[in-house]
Amino acid sequence: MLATLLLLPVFAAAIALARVPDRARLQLFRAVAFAHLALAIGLWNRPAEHLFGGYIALDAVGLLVLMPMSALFAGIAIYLGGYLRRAERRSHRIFIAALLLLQASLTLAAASQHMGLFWVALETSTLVSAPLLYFHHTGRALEATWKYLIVGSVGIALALLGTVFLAIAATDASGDTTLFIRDLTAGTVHLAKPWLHAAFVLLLMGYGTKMGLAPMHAWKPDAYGEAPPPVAGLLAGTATNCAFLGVLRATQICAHAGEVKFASSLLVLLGLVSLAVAAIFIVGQADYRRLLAYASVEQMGVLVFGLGFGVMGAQGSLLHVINNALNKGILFLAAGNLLQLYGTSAIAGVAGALRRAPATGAILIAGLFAAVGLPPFGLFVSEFVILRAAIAGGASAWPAALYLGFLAVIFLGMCVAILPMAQGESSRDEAPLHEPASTILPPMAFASAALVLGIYVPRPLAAMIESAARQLGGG
Amino acid sequence: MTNVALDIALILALLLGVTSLGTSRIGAAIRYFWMQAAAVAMVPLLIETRSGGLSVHAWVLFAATMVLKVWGVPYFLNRSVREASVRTEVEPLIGFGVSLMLGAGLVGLSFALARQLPLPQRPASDLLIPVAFSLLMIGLLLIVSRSKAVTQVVGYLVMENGIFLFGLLLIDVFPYLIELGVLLDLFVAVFVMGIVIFHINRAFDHIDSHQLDTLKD
Repeated sequence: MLATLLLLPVFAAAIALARVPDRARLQLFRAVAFAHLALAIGLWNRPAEHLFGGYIALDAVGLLVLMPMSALFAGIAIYLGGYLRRAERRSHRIFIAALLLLQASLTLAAASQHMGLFWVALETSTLVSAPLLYFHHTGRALEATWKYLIVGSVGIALALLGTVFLAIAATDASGDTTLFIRDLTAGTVHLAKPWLHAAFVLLLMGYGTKMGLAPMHAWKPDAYGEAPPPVAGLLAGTATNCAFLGVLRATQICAHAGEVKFASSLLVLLGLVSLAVAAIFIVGQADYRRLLAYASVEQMGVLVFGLGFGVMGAQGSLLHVINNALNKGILFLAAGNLLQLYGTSAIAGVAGALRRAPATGAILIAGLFAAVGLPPFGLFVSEFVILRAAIAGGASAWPAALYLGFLAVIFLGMCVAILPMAQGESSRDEAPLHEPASTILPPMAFASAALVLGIYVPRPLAAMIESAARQLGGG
Repeated sequence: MTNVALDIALILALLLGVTSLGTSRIGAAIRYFWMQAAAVAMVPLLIETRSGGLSVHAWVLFAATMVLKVWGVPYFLNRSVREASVRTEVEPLIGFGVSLMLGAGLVGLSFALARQLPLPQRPASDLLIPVAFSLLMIGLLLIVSRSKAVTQVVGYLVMENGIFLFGLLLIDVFPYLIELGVLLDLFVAVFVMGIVIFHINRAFDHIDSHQLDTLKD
């Protein structure tokens, strides 16, 4: 079953590259995305399958990253129908193939039990997303793609160096070493401290670049600001979560080697820097797609900040992984609709969305409330759990206070930018705009899921998060 | 004897790295890179002859590096340069002379840094770690100080050569499917970057990545 999950998108990509009509390519992507989701749900109850000599297996942490990813791919596969019909005419051959390969590489990353294999998977995901970013073939998109490639590649090269350092740290007296996560966290392998420290810093920097943590976030506003919004949403909701998985694994290894203090202080610091940078650039932002990119920097900051506060913080972060994916599914898809309806990504150019495009306007408002962490949306719960962990586990009150302060600034900045887009008076003609069902239903489904997660976390999910957090906490 | 050969290969890789900092011609930078990659490709073989027999692993690694880095990557880079008809690096952010001096400083720093990280086991050559650190930093310097997209790719590749040398510390124990995956990813990365460079050239009539600066806050 796991093998099918991994190979299905690869085979489908090969078909998409062959001479088939564009319409068939999109239907193929939809079919694969839903089959993937069904398989992922099927794996939920029996995660013990191993493949390829133990290199590939889905543990609790991997499943928690895989599930929302699969759901987001399915939602966006539906959404793309309406989006592509209204986008400029251009062959979908490379686009659909790249989407499928992205899904394959991210699935492999989520299921990697070996730090080297994980690196290969994540690097592949970077490369196959380049054609997605460049889909519209504009000069600005080209600039964004270049930055994404060069910054991402250098970042991920640092992660590779960190992976090598980790293997050096794990070398025993007979010269043997391992990069299997289960070996590195079993407590049987002695890890040399200086190399482990260097490895953690490099892995955090490297995978942090892929996540878009400040100050390595330079590519993010450009890439998300120029990519087709469904692609930006897909990357912000899935690829960044997978990169976070790399940081999670590195932290897990540090925790089991008794170096949790060292790891935590760096995670908290980087989380706060990201929140600060996001707050600075969200306030007064003039472009709503770049605004959402900085909101993604914020969410990544929350993820690593939470990871710095023990088992409880890790629980919050793991829940936040799911919320982050859902949230990107709401907001970027709403942004895609607005871009196509109003023809601009300037905040000032969009007004009265609630009246002219009622469904998109409502989704935008729901997405805003979900993104800033208002109850009863799921993000409120995960951000609150992280806050409690920071207050309970922190040696000083400063991190928690700063966290809350930055979130408050971001809350205001987002509301000031987005509320006038939804309400406000439209200066141009007030004729209602046409909204195809395929561009409305997926973000609505994500919004409902975010709402449900805010009211109650289903029992199996809670159990999975608990076991994953214990696995991470070293206890 | 083989110890000497190993040291010569490492010193050659280091010198070619430093030299690439001082050249203004993009074609020369690419040539220095593939010569460096060839020197680096020899290292796994030389390490193993030192300790006795040659394993299949070392041969596979050697062959893959030769095919992908010494032949494949320069082929794509040269093609991008031809299509973009750029020959020289103009107006680097940091001048060539200053870059060379900085490079020398980075090499010194690398030797100091290597002393700070004691290895669990003595490496095949005492030069391995310092040269690896040097290539890493020289590559980073090339990326940040050059304005042509192709030269930045060369910097990324030099950096990757340094990481490859670190990986050779683990030659006996690292699974080589992973190593091949890494090499293949690198190759595809250069392929994709080559395509992007081609498009940059077509869209802007230059491949000056510092003029790609419309996007900012």
